[in-house]
Amino acid sequence: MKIDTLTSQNLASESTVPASSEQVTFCQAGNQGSNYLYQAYGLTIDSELVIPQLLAGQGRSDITIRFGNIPASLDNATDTGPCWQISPKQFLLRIDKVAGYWAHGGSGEVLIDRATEASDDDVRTFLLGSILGFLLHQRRILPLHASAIRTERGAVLFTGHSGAGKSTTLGAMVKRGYAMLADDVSAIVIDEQGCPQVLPAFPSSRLRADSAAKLNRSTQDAGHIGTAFDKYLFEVDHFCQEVVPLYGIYILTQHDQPKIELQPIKSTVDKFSWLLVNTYRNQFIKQIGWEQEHFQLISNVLQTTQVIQVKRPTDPFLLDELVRQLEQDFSSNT
Amino acid sequence: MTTITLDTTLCRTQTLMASEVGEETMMMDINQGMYFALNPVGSRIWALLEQATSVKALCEQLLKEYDIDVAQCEQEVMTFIDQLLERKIVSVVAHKADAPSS
Repeated sequence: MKIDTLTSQNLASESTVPASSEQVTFCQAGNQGSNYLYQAYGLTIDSELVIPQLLAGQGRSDITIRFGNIPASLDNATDTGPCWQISPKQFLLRIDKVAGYWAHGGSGEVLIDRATEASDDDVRTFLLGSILGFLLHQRRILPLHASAIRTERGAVLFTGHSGAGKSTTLGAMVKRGYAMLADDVSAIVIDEQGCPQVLPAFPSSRLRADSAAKLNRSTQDAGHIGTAFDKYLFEVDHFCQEVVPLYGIYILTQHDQPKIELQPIKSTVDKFSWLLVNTYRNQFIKQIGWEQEHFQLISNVLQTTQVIQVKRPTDPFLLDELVRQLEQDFSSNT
Repeated sequence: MTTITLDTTLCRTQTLMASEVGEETMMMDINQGMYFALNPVGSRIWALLEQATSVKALCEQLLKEYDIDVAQCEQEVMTFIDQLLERKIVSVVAHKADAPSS
């Protein structure tokens, strides 16, 4: 008889996204009057701001994005920080020299008060990051900080901290012929049979110059995000637009050994802990107040999905070997 | 160090969320901000605690299901219940002497 314990207070939370600027040259918007209609994560987005990363959408919008004045503060704020406030249904975020954003989870409205000097690229970065993340939490969709591909057995996710190799692994898998589902945030819902399903995100991936080089992709034609991380924005041509049942989750970590090791995680509390830590913007869970549903979602995922820790050397990356071992693992019978 | 006896009756903390994951039980206590997992035998005891139950009744049932002798069973169950009490996963309803007749 044994109890394992985990305290949620000592879990790391995500840091705020740094300012960035990007120029993208691809555009797939559906155009409706002066606004654009997109889709991502099964949601239809009606936006005044052009968002070339997203695929065209249709039908009634779930989310509307407009430029306008935002509230000065929120009533019933459950938590505040130097540049943000959050309440059970609303989020207010101000990024210096870029924009103020206000999002309402119930109505799906987003208002952007952009700074005059801000580029569209800057404005989009936070929109597709924290704001979209907030809206996923509001809809009780589990957002994991993970890239995802479709395999014959279902969706496979690669999760881990910044720099762990989510996008690089994704790029290598796409080169091998697997269709992409997501680059940075993978969204999971549970269907009526209790099975976790992965929702398609959008066909773009952010890579550092060295990662792009590993994938033999030239940064010449890529959009450039000039951040502290210095990333480039790539369009991905092999993208899966359907919802795919979840098959497995790999946690990308590094060690100081020369070889790659794959270790299925046996302890339920450990698995739970990994998925909690790797929930995108996990601090929103408590701030919005959906701990119970989030717990249930993760429990459902754990009932049906393997969670495997991948330990690779920091340097060299051993990308080809990593891909080989991962592919062998998710293709074999367990 | 245990303060419970065979006659102690226990009940689940109602505000806990619990979910079966394989043979284990995953639990969350929002109030404390903590998560727990019970292994298969612990999960069985949790299941038996669906109704308020005495330590004695728990042991009687477990003796039918597991290959263990009475003394060892009582010892291990009381130790485990102590741990559950410490983490506020269960609480004491009443000692037999104080229990109202039903």
